Amino acid sequence: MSPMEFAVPAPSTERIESTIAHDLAKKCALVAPIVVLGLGIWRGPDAALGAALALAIVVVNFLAAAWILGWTARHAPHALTGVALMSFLVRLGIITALGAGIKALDVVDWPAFCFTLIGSYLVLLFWELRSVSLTLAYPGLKPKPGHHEE
Amino acid sequence: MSIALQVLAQTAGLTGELDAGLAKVGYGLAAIGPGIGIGYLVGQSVQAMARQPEMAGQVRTTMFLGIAFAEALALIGFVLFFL
Repeated sequence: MSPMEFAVPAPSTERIESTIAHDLAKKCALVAPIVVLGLGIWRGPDAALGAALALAIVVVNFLAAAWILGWTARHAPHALTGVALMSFLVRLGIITALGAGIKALDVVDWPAFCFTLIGSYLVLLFWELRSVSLTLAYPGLKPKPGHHEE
Repeated sequence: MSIALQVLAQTAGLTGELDAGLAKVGYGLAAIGPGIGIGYLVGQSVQAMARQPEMAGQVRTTMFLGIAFAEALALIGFVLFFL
């Protein structure tokens, strides 16, 4: 190799964001029955429906963000900032439209919907942050038994 | 008496409109903050990935979680807007 040649690393093809989002979705599937049942018993079926809708919105938002950011990071990293901002705006717009629609329909317990949305979002995120911090890597890199670093 | 009631009703209507307008302004501000944060965060992450491509995996992990935390602020704004 001549001194002027540099080894350019190939762009990462790992689906890191999707791995994190799927891990979050699994955790949400674990807590969803408890939250929905608990709110259903406490505040009635409207609250259970609101909680279920809020959890669905949170998970779909995570999965959509992961898919968009992951695809961009792998295929067009130069456009990452713009895509991240536009996807944030578009997803926020969709969530706002969904929220307005759900409120207009008046079929769910609104406070239960709102607090489940924020609460589940933050709890899932801190839960994921904890597991990422413990492994010092995204969940897919968690060392497995019998796996040795080259 | 009826004039006083009319004035009171008009004032209440204006207050309601003002509240709705303020809520919209608040929601807009709540969306701008995370927007600035996400832009800065992704910009710095791209810079980090360009400087150390071998760390791209960890940088993307941290970036994704950071974006999610910044979006939480916008969601709080959304909830307060509708509540």
